[in-house]
Amino acid sequence: MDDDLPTDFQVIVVGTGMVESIVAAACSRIGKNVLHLDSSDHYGGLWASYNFEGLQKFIKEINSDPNRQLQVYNLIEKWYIDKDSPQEETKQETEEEKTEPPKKIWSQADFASEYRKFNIDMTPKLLFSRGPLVELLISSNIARYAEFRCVTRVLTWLNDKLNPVPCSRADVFATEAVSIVEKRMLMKMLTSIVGYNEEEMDNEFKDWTDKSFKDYLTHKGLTPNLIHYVLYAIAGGSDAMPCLEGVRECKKFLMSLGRYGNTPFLWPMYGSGELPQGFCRLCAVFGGVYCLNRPIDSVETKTGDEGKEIVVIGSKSKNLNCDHLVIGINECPKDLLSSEPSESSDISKAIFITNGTIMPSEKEPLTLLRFPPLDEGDNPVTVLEVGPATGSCPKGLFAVYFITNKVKDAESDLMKYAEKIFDMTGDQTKAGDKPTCLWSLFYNVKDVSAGVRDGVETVHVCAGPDAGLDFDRAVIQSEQIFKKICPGEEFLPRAPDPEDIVFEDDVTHGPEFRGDEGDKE
Amino acid sequence: MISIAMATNRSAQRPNGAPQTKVCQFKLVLLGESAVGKSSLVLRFVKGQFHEYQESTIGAAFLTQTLCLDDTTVKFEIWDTAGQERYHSLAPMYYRGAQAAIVVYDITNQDTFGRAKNWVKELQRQASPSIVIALAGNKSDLAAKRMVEFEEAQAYADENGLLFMETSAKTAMNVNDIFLAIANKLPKSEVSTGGAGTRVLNDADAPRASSCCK
Repeated sequence: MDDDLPTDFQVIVVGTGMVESIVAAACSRIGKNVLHLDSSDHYGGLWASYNFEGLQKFIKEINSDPNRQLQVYNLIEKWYIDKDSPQEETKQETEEEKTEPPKKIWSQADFASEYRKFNIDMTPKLLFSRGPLVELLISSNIARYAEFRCVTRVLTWLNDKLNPVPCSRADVFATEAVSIVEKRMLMKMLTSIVGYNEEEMDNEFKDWTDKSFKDYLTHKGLTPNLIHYVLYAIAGGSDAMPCLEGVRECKKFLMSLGRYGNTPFLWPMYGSGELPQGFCRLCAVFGGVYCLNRPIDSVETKTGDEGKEIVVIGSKSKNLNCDHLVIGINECPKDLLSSEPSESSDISKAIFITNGTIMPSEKEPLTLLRFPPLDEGDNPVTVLEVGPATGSCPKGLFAVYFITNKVKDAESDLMKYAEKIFDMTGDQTKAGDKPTCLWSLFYNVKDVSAGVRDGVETVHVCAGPDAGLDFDRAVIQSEQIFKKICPGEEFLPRAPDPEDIVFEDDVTHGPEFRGDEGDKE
Repeated sequence: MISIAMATNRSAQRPNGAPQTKVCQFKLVLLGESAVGKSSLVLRFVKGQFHEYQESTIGAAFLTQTLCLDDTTVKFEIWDTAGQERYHSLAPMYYRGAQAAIVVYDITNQDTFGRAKNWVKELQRQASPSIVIALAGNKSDLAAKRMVEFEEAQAYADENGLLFMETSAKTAMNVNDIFLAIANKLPKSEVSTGGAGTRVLNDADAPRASSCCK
């Protein structure tokens, strides 16, 4: 039934990861005729969100055939709870004490029966409120397809416990964690960083180009507590973070404050995996053709009649032709890639499902926690805790994501951080101060940025997910690819509000629609 | 919770104690085979127009229309498939938070009725359990070429708890009625359902851009 798929397009995009999807939307938006394929049956590739059943399927697939998804390895899934729950006991109690129902004891069977309420992210990321992705969503009008929640707090690990990080002016003055003198010092520091323009930056930091941000903060007379907040929590850095990078990260954080909420960050409802789908929808709305479950077998380039280079893609014994191929690195045939050694840095990730938040609060929290490295040689660890209100998990549970640059492997890199904030015994009856971890998944992801082999100008390879907190790299890369395919064209101009579109038979409007050619046969 | 854009069932109260009109906003999705007239139904409902040889509606896959009931104003945010259904590639995002769906088939084409049943199954699997589903047998102006009997579809709708009407986007028959029937069936509670997020808007568009969530 896929066989009525048209065969000639200006742009074919293979893979529905973030970068591929943004490029597809941008090309379709300015009138290119786009075919968008994915070898799997869902959107997002390595950027996908899964319900619990889908996640189990993903784990099984990779464990049974590691070659299928070379970028993901070292998968370790663990249960900390029983297969089935002792049902009768809990039932009786709820009837007797209606005012105070006992805390639910979760079993593996409960996860299975509520599988649809999970939306677990393989690539969880936040959006800076004034970052490039939010601006792009607004300017392109794709924002109307998605909903977001504000991150309610930023925490850090200091003096062997969790500490809220004062982000805004109000926070700084409300906090009891720092003295009044420190408050003034911190405000002065933060205000000056936001205030610098490029010239003042160059001037202020001309002697600091080869020194660390920590040295700079120390030089400015900040106390150890304040250095901790600014360096580890606000800049997300480590002791070795170069000064200028630290200043830039701080500035980015501070500039995004006060737009939507108490912190600079937004989290997409139902997970980061919704975002590629939003771009795909825009692509489809402007005539892009979508076909999932469509693996490709080969990619060749040949010279067409007018000396123009054509990319020919073999898929299910059919040849698909296009002027430009945009392809995710995870879908790309190896012979197409440059043989030069590619740059690769790997990421260690973990997902935990717990029965409570790491730090109780009045309303359901949405948390960014930044750990400084606990041991020599570690990298800083980013933690995101999301609850039921984000559509990520059933009521009573939290999904907690850990991300760091790989040192050894995901489990050795991250388990010791998890043990600081979770009870790993699986005991759900204890009323301790730590939430109990019910389930976990550790995995490593390769972050490879490979080029296409020499002489191929019409194939564009998209990188997979990076370790960064935000989507900035994906947005920048997709714009670069778009500019190569469509030089001089505007990148995702605002889509008109449908209410403003005039439907009249004799009026031509919008870009020409060419995606239907194959349907007429 | 930030209030810069839609939450699900928002009630708007006038500040000076004037009689309050409840405004409820609902996401409604359209499903059905290509060429059964999904976009035409919406275009008839929203703009009162019909085009015999309408091409796929570029850029128009997101329309809104408001209906006034006795004490409530119902605002539909209508999502069209944008053709993503054609090769079985509809994104889960499409179903997210949808409170209503219209599954459309063409009464002159038995296959489209079979596919409509599959879409109903898909909704029962993917969408919210409380979703209100309406089945629309479109192109009722072509009754002479009818291949799907009214009684057959009615029986199927009854079995599955669906609203059912035969419609014609061309003559406008039952088009407003089916949307009205959905509006009447939707729960219009004052309480905004938890779990809804917010849209991000440009600062200039947002009534209150930087309210705080505690």
